[in-house]
Amino acid sequence: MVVLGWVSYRVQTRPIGISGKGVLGSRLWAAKRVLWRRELGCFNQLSVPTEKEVVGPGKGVLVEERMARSKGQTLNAVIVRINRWCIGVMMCAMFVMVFANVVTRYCLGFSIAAAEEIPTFLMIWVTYLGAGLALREGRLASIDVLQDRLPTKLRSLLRISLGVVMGAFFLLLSWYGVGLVILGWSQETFALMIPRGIPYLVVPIGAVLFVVHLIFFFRMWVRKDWDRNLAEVHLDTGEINGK
Amino acid sequence: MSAFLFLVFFVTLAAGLPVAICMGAAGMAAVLVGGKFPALVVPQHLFNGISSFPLMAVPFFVLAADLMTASGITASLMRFANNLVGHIKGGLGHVNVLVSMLFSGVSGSALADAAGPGAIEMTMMRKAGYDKAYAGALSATTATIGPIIPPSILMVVYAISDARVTVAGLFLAGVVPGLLLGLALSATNHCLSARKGYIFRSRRPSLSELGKSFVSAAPALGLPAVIMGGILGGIFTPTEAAAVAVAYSIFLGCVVLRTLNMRRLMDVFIQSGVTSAAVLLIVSMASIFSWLLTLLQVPQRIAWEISNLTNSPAVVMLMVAIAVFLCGMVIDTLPALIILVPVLGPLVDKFNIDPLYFAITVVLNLTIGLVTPPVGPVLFVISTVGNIKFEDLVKAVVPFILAEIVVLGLVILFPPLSTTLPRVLGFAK
Repeated sequence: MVVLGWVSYRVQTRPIGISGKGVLGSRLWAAKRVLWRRELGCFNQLSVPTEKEVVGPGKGVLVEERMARSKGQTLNAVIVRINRWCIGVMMCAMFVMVFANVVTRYCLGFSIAAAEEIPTFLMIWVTYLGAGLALREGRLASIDVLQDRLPTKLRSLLRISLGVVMGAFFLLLSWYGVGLVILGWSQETFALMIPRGIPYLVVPIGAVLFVVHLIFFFRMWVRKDWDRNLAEVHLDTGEINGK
Repeated sequence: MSAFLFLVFFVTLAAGLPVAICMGAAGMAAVLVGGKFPALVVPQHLFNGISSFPLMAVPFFVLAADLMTASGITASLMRFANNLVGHIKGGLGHVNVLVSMLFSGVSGSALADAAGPGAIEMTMMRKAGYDKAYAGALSATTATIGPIIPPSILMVVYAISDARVTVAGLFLAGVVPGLLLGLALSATNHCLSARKGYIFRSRRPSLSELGKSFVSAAPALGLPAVIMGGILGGIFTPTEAAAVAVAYSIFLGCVVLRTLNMRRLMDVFIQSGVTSAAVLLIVSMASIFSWLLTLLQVPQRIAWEISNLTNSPAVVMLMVAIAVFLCGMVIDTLPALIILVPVLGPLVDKFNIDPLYFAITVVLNLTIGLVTPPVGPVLFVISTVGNIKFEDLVKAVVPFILAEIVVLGLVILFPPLSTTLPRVLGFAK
């Protein structure tokens, strides 16, 4: 396992410095400022903050470059894109079903039992399929106070072994998850009457997906270099569309 | 087995493994080493731990808040707040508090508040001449009002881990402490602004300006009314209310304000999906951990030990408050909540404490932990977004933490503060 960790750390040598011009980023930001100015015009003695003041120096460009990077056609980017798309569709389906159930109950007077069960399963699918993306974006909270005090070399070594522990845990989980699916295949779910093994499938699939994300992300995990692009980009584009 | 559970958990936690995975890994290690159960119980608990319809309120509240932020309604909330209190001494500070209180009626989480309106407020305060660290500290502490004023993700999770309380009861119980928290932070800001000479204020708005800004903020202000009215009126379950809130925000963004289109909607869905995944993964992994804790009778042992020490509920509350505060300082709020609720639960029965009152003190206490060093997630967000040195921020945040502790003390000393509202409206015994 440790060897595997080292290998994947060494192999991923893509440069990730802050370079390139933030053409798109600055255009977005300009539009955002225009909007803010209009919206917040009432704050008399104030002017609207500039990009550097909110995002911090240099970070805006980094966002921009990461956006370009995630648009590449590498296997890594394809996996991320498909994964994100799956999450979005599932969230959407979840919402539509629950909301439709509310509407039918109060307007038409009946409700569908499956419309409680399917969204619940979808939520679990979103959780396990989204775990890898959450890792990439640095959203899995951890206590780094102690490791931040270590010298750089030792700290990378610690983070490498933590990554390996994480990988091992999810590999074990996927193994036992397969067992759970087999066990659940002979039972039926409450409302849908399908084998319980079908919703259980998410445990092995999600665990393997997490390991795949971890392998692609390993170098950045060691450096704590999160994929923050997605959140910030989505906040930016809206301001433009909002005009 | 129990030794192994705690050993793995604390070692990986201290090393910096994500908290969710610490709990899962410790649970799996204990099951494998203990050998009493087939390893299949691990994936089974992970799955069943979040296989709950009420829990779905969490992703929906996340989604509603993200949609609100994305549709730009936050800006009109800010304009309204500025017109309302901006002309008072220390004006922008009060605006900061008020916006957080209004926004917390939309979102359920403190991090959403810190990263959304918090970041903008902080920048504006700084431009107006407030000290960098002071502006950051105020924005960080006001963000912690979010989980106290309903709706609140923390309370939804609490109600799922403790059958004695309902989501509606908890939401109602949080109203008064939340308002108190806002008042306390405003008062602190007033005193500090006066002392530091922050006298900047906006011009007093004319009545028509105030009215106009109210009209543009009204859709956002209507959302908490829809959520709470629906839940309290018995029309929706909390999950359904959250789904209605999502529908309301989509309608607002796509039809009324026209700031959202299909592509952008999909982006928001994805983003909130990932955020919810991070939250629910903790709940899922914690379920195997707390199942093992219960199996090993840890909660009962703790309750027994404490009942040997004292039999006064007041002393117990004090001990619990200190223990929870210390936990909140080092562990993130949600995992701390999920681990502590089953552990402390038996105390409620043993000492005959009102479960709602107990729940509010625990939630309030843990949210203070969001801004206490060494592990204060909101402080991290603010220091990253605002480019403030963590140490400076910690120094500046101390008076606000003290104000929050005073509020916590009041809520602990006077149970009616939290229990009256739910009792009057019939959501508690």
